[in-house]
Amino acid sequence: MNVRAQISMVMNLDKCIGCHTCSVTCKNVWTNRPGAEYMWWNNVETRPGPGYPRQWENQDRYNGGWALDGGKLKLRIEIKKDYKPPGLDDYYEPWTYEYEVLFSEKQTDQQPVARPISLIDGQPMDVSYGPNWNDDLAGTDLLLEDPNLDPLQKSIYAQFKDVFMMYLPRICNHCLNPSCLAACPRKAIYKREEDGIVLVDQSRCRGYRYCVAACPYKKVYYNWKTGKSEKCILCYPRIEAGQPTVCSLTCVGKIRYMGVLLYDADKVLDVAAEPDPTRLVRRFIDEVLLDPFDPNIVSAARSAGIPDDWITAARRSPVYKMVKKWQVAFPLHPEFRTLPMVFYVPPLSPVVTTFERTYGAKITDVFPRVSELRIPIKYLASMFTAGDTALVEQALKKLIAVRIYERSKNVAEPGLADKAKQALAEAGLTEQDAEEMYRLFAIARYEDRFVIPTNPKRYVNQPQLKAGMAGLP
Amino acid sequence: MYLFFLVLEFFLNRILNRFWIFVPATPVTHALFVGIQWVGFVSMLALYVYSFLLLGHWGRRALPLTAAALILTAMDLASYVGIYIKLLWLLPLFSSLFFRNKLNLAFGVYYAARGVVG
Amino acid sequence: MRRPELLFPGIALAVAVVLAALGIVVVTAQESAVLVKFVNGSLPVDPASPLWPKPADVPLTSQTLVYPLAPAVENRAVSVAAVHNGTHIAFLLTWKDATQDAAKPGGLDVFPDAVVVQFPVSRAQLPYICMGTVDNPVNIIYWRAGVGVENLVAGAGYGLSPQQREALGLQTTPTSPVELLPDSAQVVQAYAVYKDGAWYVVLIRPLGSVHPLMSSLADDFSAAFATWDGSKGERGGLKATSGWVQFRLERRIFAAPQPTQPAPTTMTATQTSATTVTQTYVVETTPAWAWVVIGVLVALLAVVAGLALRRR
Repeated sequence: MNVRAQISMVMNLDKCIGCHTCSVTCKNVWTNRPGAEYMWWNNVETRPGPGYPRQWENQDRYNGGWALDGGKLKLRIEIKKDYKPPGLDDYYEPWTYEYEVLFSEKQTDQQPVARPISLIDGQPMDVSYGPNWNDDLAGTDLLLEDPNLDPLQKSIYAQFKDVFMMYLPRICNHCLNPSCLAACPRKAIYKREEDGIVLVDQSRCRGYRYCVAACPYKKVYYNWKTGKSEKCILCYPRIEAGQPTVCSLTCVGKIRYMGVLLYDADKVLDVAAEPDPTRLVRRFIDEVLLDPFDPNIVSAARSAGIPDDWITAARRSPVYKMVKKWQVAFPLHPEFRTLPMVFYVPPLSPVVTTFERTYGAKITDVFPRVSELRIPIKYLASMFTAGDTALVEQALKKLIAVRIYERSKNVAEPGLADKAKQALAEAGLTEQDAEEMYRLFAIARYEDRFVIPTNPKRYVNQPQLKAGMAGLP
Repeated sequence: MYLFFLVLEFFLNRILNRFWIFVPATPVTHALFVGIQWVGFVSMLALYVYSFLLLGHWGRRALPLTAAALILTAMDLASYVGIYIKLLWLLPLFSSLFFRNKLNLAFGVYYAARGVVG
Repeated sequence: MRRPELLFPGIALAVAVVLAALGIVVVTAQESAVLVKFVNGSLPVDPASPLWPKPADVPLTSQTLVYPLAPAVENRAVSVAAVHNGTHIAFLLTWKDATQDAAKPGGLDVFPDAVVVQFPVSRAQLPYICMGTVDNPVNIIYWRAGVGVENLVAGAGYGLSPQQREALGLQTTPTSPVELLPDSAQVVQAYAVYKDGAWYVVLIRPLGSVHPLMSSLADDFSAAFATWDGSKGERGGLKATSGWVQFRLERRIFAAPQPTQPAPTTMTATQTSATTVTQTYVVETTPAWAWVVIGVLVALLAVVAGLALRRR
């Protein structure tokens, strides 16, 4: 057992309002530079939709992630020998507006118009695609490009009968088995030992872009000005000081939680090579992620050099609670086999109020059954559990049970308390669990959402650092 | 003796000095390398002189062959002054007309093929 | 009269030793080398200039051993012609490429067409062909379409102490086995034309060395080549490389050693960095046509000697 610690994140999609504040703040801090205009290290996708870059989940198109080649784990770019990264058309051509015209234009009968100009070459351009175009009133036909929509759902969607939508904010997942790291022939990408953050060494990178092609989430971006590739750095200067990332801190919906997860590095490749994709998430959560309350694991962690304040933080970690204790948060597309360390609580659909008996209807009738939710379970399972619908159902049942329980505490409705007990039992939660979940999801303070220990820089006197290397190659 | 020089030149100039890059560079191995280069050089020149000595020794009957050898060699050397006509590969084939045995013919065909393709 | 079996080898050996000591070379037994012709005055930058000698075709092939492997093994060629004027040397590299790929703003999936020339830094021993080693580095001229030309050293980085690296003008801590030489050593110019499905790139650099890690070409040298075809997504290790090719500098006609000519005005105008080119005296020994004469004469003499030594 080789215990390591990583600063991980959970996003509660139930609370995401799609305001894109996270994207804008990240852009203003990190990617407001020449060559980085088209990059969104944090982006929010309105789903169903193609995503950014376009149809990034379709690995037949982009060859990202790992695949099993005769039982052995191999990069898809290596299997197909196709190392092509996406082009600007797959992302979008970034633009701004000639605002100056609004000030400098002389008075005429017409209003001055600020035309869109390209951020690549400064010339006026026709805007025809953007990073979330299906939500910009112009690209509704792009909804059907979502690879998670199976044919049945597509036909339903095309009839506009039972349409659904949700928001999916994404950052680099700082995976345990990063395909970007494995793809670089110069070993320019490394994963930090102390907090698991994956970084691109700008002095070693030569802009080959094998990493861009290999990342299944397409979260490494090529900077065409510097000629090097860049990615989300999980705001590591802030993390080292115990502060949350910019995207997490500025999140309006308070959907983001950050904390320490202990994991077993020895199990990573074994689990990633699991032949049955539907078993990947269970094995990931059960075998790779570790319980910080288990004394064996704690002693193994101590002997691996993890400091005591990190172990304390791992016990208080909201990420541990959501991912391993309550099992309501899941990784994004685990079938890419990179073992991502950013997790998502699947959204409960909006309450469907098309019952004839809406007024006077009992609460347990208003809360729909999980199998009748607006957002198809299969869609969520395709996105978060590689098709294991049972896991998603259990998680949603728990979320509904918590709601029923809290409502039963505040509303005097006959029979509601019994219904709450029943819901909790069905979901496998105790009342204490439900209370804790409510506090964490609904009313959590800053200190509860972000449990980030500081980096003690205990590796300063390591010989490999003296020789000029940083982190693991 | 001729065969000895041939093999020596081949071994030193075409085999050993090419694989020498895998030998770690120290003053001793460098001195050895210089020695290999020099002995290879000398044996190459000795082959050249020896060949023409033998040609002369065979006298009148080998006159066409001697003439052909001299002319083709002169043309080959003329690449120094920019005349790039390399027809030396014809020589083994030509010589097999004079010394008729299978080995000669085989060499002749081999070098002719190389010359045509290259 | 001793037996011819021992006499002839004896004569041949004796003559060979004398010739070797005198530095006479016989080209027929030698590997073919590319002749770097001498031109007076400024070096041609136009690929169509008549000053370029007939080029030599250098075969290139891609590696088939380790990741990343090319989808199909590449076998192509670059034709190389070179001229020098006593102070500078110019290479004309020509290779076929169906599409012109140059780095451009917003070119996220664009990989530029590129070519390199690799020289050994040390003359003691030819370095490992795959970009040198710590003990035996190589000096590389790297040209990319849309980016320009760089003078690099490969292999040396990790074998030097920080003090040595600082003295050489390199970053104190190595971050890569391939490094840009300091600005004072960026003395290479490139002129490139793409026409009718082929690239024509002229690379000009001083014959001498301006930095300890830059190779000197003042004497006969070896060089290796590689090209990248951007349309096939070639970058980094995805390329086609050659082996070591020998180059021979054509000596000037008159035998007296002459001081280096000052670079003609057209050349100095385009040089962007001040360079102190080490004085390269291209030592003149024997003119080119003399080799031909000597070679043929030696052959004739041997024939005559053979005739004379025939047993009656």
